[in-house]
Amino acid sequence: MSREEYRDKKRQWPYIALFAAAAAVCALLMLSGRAAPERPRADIYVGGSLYKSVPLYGVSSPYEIELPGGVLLVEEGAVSMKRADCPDSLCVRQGRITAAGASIVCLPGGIYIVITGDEAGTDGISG
Amino acid sequence: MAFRGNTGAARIARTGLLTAAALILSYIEGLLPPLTAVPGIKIGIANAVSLFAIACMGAGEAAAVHFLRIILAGIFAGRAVSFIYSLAGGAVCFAVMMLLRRSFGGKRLWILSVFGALAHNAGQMAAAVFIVGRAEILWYMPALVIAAIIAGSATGLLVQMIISRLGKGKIV
Repeated sequence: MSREEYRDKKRQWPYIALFAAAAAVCALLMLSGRAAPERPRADIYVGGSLYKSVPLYGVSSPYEIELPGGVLLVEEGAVSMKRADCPDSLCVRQGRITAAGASIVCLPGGIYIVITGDEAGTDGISG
Repeated sequence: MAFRGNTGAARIARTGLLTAAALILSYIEGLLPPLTAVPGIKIGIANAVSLFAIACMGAGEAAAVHFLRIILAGIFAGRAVSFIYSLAGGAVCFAVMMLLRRSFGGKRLWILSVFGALAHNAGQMAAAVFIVGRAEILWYMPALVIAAIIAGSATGLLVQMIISRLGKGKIV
């Protein structure tokens, strides 16, 4: 091994450490911020503006919502994309989301669905 | 290897060859099912060709290989919105890799690749925030960062191997 190669090899370590640390922080971020909400709602955005907000509690029987670019299935405590008009349908493969802060994004359709927790419910626990 | 030469014809042939290789890789990757449920996560194997061009060729040729592949793959896929994301990611990725390419060569090329992948995802995310109009989709960023580190290292190490097998300094 030439001196340059040896030096290059050693000079990788700071970056290995940097990338490992970044990955660890990101993994922690992914695991946190998923606190279970009380009385969740699903906010549906199409093209950046609020299209509809539906409660995810007291849903006695699952129902579907027609969106421009797909069909959303609403169940008790969960939503999922049942069908999407885009070819890869990644949002459909993602399946059901249940936790507050969890979201479904359908980029081709400009659809963004996020589950929000009920403020009063959170206060009821923390207070 | 008959890959050297600095005449106009040699450059055109080289650019065409690499662009074709990148297009094939991007087409094959497109046939595979998505790796994860999170959108935007893929190996980006076609970027190996861009990385090779950035590491071994001049700025003009590297830019031609990189952007021709993005534009042509976008035309073949025929999806305007996906094309915007590819182009936004590709432009940021290219700018960052060109800025850093003198610092990370040889055995450290994979580091350049990771920075490129991170820049690609950042550019794509910026375009997504702009198009979807919601900053909340930034919550996908941690997953994308992890994916960029893994995918970037993999393609980077692949290109390192290719360059060392082809013979250093004998390629272009």
